Amino acid sequence: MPTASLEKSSVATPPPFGSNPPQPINLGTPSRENAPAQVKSKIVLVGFDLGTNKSCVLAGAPGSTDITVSKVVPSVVGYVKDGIVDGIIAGNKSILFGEEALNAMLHVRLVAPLAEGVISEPSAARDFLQHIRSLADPTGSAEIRAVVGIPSNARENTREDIRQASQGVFDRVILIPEPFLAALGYRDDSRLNQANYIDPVINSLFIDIGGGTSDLCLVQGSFPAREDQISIPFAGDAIDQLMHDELNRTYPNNGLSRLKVREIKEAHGYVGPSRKPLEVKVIMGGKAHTLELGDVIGRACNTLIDKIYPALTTLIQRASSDSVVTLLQNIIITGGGSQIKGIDTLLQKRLTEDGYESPKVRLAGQDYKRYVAIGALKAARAARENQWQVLLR
Amino acid sequence: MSGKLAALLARAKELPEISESQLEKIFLAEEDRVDTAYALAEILLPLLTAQNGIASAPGRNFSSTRDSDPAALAENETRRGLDSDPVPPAPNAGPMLPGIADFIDEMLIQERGQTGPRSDRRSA
Repeated sequence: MPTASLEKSSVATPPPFGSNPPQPINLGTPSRENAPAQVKSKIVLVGFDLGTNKSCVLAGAPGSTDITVSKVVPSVVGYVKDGIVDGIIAGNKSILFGEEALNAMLHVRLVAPLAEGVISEPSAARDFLQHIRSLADPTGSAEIRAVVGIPSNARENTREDIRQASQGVFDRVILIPEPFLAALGYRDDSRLNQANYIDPVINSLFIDIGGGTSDLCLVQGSFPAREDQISIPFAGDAIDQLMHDELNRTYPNNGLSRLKVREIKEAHGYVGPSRKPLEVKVIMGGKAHTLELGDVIGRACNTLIDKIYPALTTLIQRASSDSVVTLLQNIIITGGGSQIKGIDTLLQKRLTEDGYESPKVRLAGQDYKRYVAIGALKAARAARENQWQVLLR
Repeated sequence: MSGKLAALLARAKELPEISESQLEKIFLAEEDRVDTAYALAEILLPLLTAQNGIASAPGRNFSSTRDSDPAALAENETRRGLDSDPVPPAPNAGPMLPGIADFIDEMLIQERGQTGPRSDRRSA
């Protein structure tokens, strides 16, 4: 197990109000030993969905419901290649992030900090988080407290990797599973007092389909236990890979990049019976070609259903007989995978065919990219002082 | 406040230079001030609790605590002291959403159960 780089809060013994702020203990970098704690007057709260393909950051001040920053950023870092002439890259930057990096892909080495929902390139992850920090606090002087989404049932080393990458970037963090944050984010707080409103935090099943993992979570009024969460390492990226492999078999030397394949999936992805004709225009070797991709896309996307459905029924069976009928009315799909056409109706149809009582599967809606971050910012605003984990500077 | 007033009145009665009528005047004036404060509190409490999203605590009915008996007043003072939150809200508390902090507590407890105590972490 890696060496911990932070101190962790104690739930049982909250410090008295007005007591001295916690002093970080040094567990790793000798050069920072005895560094004086920096006093910061301004606190910025951050809700952060660190996604494999896309990340979302929301920020706001404590004691307010205002959101001052709301951005969705492709999770990619571009390191400018050697020998690029001055002026080619705006501001002659050496590192680009998100869309800017993608737009300059000819001139940069693109690095994705995450793979399958976990940090795979620690250095790039750290650079990416530094960029996120600069978005949340352009002054660079505020104390940043971030609630960060993590995959369901993330292992300790996954959590530790995020903490390590956050060290010196964020001042305090809380790591919370993404589908639970999605439930918090999806919750309409203005309707909690309405009799006909089913609070998703009270009884729902969230399916968060991201780039690296599909996370399912039973949310029933208490924090979900490990057995209430299932994370499947099959999601958007895996679909892209299946499509790419099949395209390479069918059209050798097609030259289509993974990014192009992802674009095709995002535009045409569907589940259910084959949808043909589904003709897609692509450029191969500089020439336009129209490819029939109905089967390629359908097979790859339907694989997702085959992976998710057993996990979905497993979690439904965990619900008590008193709660399961309402639960079946409150199955919500979010994340990028929710945009695959027909995914809600197909899952609902399968549940109905398997005899589940009047199931209703819904899509979270147009804010699907932001629900985790919205929930994270809500959590940041509600967190008690002693729940934050203090990171070393 | 009213408990202190009663004590002052008792002490004042022992002093010969203050007449009964003077004492009566002081008492009435202080009664009026306390009545005004309670009336104001009754008006403001629902407004403030609604504005801040705080549920009105049972037993905070100010008219029911209005009592000129010093013993009853003292008892109410004690009850009010017990009702108040021993730990003031954290600076980042903001508009507290019910339950979320409790969820985080549950999560942290689960995490501690899974990872066990670690000597390299300590309480914030």
